[in-house]
Amino acid sequence: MNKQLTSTFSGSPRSEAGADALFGEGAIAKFQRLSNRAMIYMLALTMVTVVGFPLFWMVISSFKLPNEMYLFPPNFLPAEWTLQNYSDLFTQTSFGLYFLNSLIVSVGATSLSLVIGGLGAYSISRFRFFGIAGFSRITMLCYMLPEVLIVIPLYIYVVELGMADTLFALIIGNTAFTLPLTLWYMKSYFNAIPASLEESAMIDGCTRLQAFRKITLPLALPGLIATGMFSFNHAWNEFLFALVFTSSESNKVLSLGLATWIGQDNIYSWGMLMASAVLVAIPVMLFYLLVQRKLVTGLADGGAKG
Amino acid sequence: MASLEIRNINKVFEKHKAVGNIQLNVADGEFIVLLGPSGCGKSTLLRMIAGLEMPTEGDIIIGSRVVTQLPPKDRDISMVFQNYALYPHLSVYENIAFPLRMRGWKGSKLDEKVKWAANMVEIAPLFERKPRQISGGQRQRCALARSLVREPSVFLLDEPLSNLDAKLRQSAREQLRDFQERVGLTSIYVTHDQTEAMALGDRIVIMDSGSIRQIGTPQEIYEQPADTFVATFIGTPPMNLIQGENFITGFRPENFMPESFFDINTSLVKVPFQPYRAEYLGDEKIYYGATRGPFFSDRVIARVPNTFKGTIPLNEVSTFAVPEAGLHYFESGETGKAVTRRKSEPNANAREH
Amino acid sequence: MSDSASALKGDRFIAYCTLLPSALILLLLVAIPTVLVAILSTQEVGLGEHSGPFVGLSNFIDVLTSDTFYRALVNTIIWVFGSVGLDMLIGTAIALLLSKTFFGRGIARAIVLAPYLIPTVVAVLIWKYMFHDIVGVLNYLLLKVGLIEKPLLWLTSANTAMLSVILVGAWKFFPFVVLALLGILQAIPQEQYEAAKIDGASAWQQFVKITLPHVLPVFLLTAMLRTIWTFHKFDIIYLLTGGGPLDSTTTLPVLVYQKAFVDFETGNAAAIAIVTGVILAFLLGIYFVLIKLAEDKQ
Repeated sequence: MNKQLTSTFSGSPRSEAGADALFGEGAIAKFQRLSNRAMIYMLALTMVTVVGFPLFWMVISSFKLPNEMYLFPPNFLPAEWTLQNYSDLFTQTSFGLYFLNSLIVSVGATSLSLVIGGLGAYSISRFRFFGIAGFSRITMLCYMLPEVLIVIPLYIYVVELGMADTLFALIIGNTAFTLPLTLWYMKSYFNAIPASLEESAMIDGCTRLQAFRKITLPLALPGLIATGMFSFNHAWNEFLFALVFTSSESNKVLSLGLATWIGQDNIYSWGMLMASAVLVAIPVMLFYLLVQRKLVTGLADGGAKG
Repeated sequence: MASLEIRNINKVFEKHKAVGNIQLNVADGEFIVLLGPSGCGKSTLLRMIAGLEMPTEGDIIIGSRVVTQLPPKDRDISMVFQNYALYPHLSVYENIAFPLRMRGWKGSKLDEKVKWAANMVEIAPLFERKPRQISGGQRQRCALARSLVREPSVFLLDEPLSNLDAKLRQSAREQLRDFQERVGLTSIYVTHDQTEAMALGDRIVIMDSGSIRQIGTPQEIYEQPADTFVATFIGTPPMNLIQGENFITGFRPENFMPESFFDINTSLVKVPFQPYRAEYLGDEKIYYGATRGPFFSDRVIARVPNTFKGTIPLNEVSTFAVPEAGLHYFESGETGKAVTRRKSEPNANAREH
Repeated sequence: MSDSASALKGDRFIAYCTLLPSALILLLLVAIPTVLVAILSTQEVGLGEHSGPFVGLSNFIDVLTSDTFYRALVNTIIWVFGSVGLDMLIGTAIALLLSKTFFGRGIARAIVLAPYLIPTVVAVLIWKYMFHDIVGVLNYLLLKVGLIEKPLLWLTSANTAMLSVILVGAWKFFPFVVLALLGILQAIPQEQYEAAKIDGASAWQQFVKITLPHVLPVFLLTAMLRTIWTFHKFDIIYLLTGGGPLDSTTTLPVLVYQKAFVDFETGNAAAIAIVTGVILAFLLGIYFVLIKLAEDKQ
């Protein structure tokens, strides 16, 4: 290792000694540490401000009165805090309906993805029969395909099967899209649960399926929750499939509904748009905050070894 | 409790023959150890007895039932895994109760049995804890209690002591054997540690590369090894093997000592020995050296107890000896099977140097 | 790998049965459609129809000789390099920052993650409002500080539209880079830094000799993933500008959508989609080579 003691901030040994004499020992090192700290805090603050500003702006604007939205120069805090935008959202628009539709599609796609993907992942993790490993690898390729490519033939399917303009088509489409991720993630998760636990259960009196239900599943719960969150998030935000598969007002999901409003350039309802933005963002943020805790405990609880 | 018979078992994985032609009869209540190096097939054999693998050929018979096609849960066996396989989300009590619950046991009947099993290994005070909250030794006892609670016909153990640190291993070994004797379970124990095998087993089954090399009591295995593999696997340091013209001669280091050490009446074969290194081990010294004379070799090991008061200078030739009774003979070549040497045959040795 | 693969009687049946639904879904909804697209690209598909007469490679020829395609290709390249470049830059810097411990780090992390979590629609809404030429807060701030003299037409001018879109893209997706790099930064064993300090290494030397070799493969992998996903991105651009103004933000995915669902030239759209895939495969090839080099250097 290079014997040069050249750290970014150090001076020559003589000046250090001088400073030590004046300010006490190790003064320069201490000063370096403090200025490092200060710089970090400053950078962190800048970063948080810059990144967080749009979100701050969104929330703040949602509480402003409609006419306040068009002030130039704009107010940074509402002159008058109001919930009018929120109430208008539910009374004057189909926002409530969109919200419900999104919920149906997201919950539906997430459940299907978890059940189908979870079982499939278990199979890939535990069994070595012909074709299983190969299938697992091919699945990863699916991730490389763009939505735009898939949506064309899927649209043809949907129309030919008479499923055009249904939420069902969206549920299936989103399940298909989140399935590869579920398979991959849960496979890793199952791999981390020792197979000997299931073997022990089978010796203790379970069939393989009973062992899966009583032993593996409870231990895989954190992983399922994490995957579920990803799937929910994806379905909640998904736009292209909704755009292509559905058209009527009653079947619109949030992403599509909001998009139509944007497209219409409704200058007079920015307040409602901001309110809708807040409401659409909340479930996902909440979900994430809740899941964060669970994710940490994870398999620290589980495992049979020391 | 029941007897176990392994008849003609073969297991082939794709192109690889893991286990071939295994025959074994285990008596009711016997403690059998499957011993061998990694990859010898001992774990595969154990798992086939358990029902976790299906044999390609052959049968497993427990008591009078042919269980080969039965799933593990119907074989009336229990198993302790290397990592204990305790259910992490269940308490110690529930872990032990699990096998009974699967059979539909409930209420006070269940409770009594769980307590009985727990008391056998003194783990009752830990009932409410979860596996991650107890120590390695305690987990092992919990696994034992869980295996015991159903009073199975056959008890299987897959290297259950290898996860314990050395100190704990010794006392755990004692407890284990004690436990087995008290309960009288027919047990099959897998290990690669020969000290463990010798200490625990009624009989030892030594395996290598998928086949059985020898079955015998510890004494039989040690004093009458069936081939060179067994001869060198058992015993630390391993038996000295010297290739001669027609045979391989073998003698154990503890039988190879200075001539003056032996009693006058013992029939000896004298061997000049020049050690190049000595290790002091407290109660004995181990010498590594070369021999000339009847057996030529560059690496022979001798174990000399420190009760021997003479000096054995390094890099000088001393006269050592082996009692005739301590000589073993083996076929040259692959098998290295043990043979008895007829007095008339040319002496098995002698590459002149 | 699971520690042991037991195989009981009846396991084979269970194995295939549990895998069947996944296999079916992926076959029907991903594999077969991909083949369908290939087939469609060789057909002349009319308005409202779902298939048409075979026309060989004429769709591809049309595509590769059309100006719109090349304009879209250029836009896509600008979009990808701009957005991913900015992503990786900002993401790396912030990851390095967040790898140091300081009070409030948890909150900082949560806030930094937010853009990635919120729906694309929401991000688009916010930024559209902020970009608004008359009432948008961005123009207000820039005017106040004196960086510009008159309000910028962020999304409504062909000159600045792509820039604005890149900005939003970077803001939305840089947290992914932060997450990925934070993961590896925190996995580097502290002992290596301590040993280096004892040997007298400076902060810069520590970075080059210890941090970089660990981080580089992950960095490249993340860049590769970001490239794939950014290349295929449809919704953020479509929602922000619809591809305009004057096609200045029409990237290949947007073009495919327009051709398929606005112009109803399905055969053409399929051909463009396939060409897009080929171009991307080429880009990926470059990444793989880079990653291989980085790993070999280790």
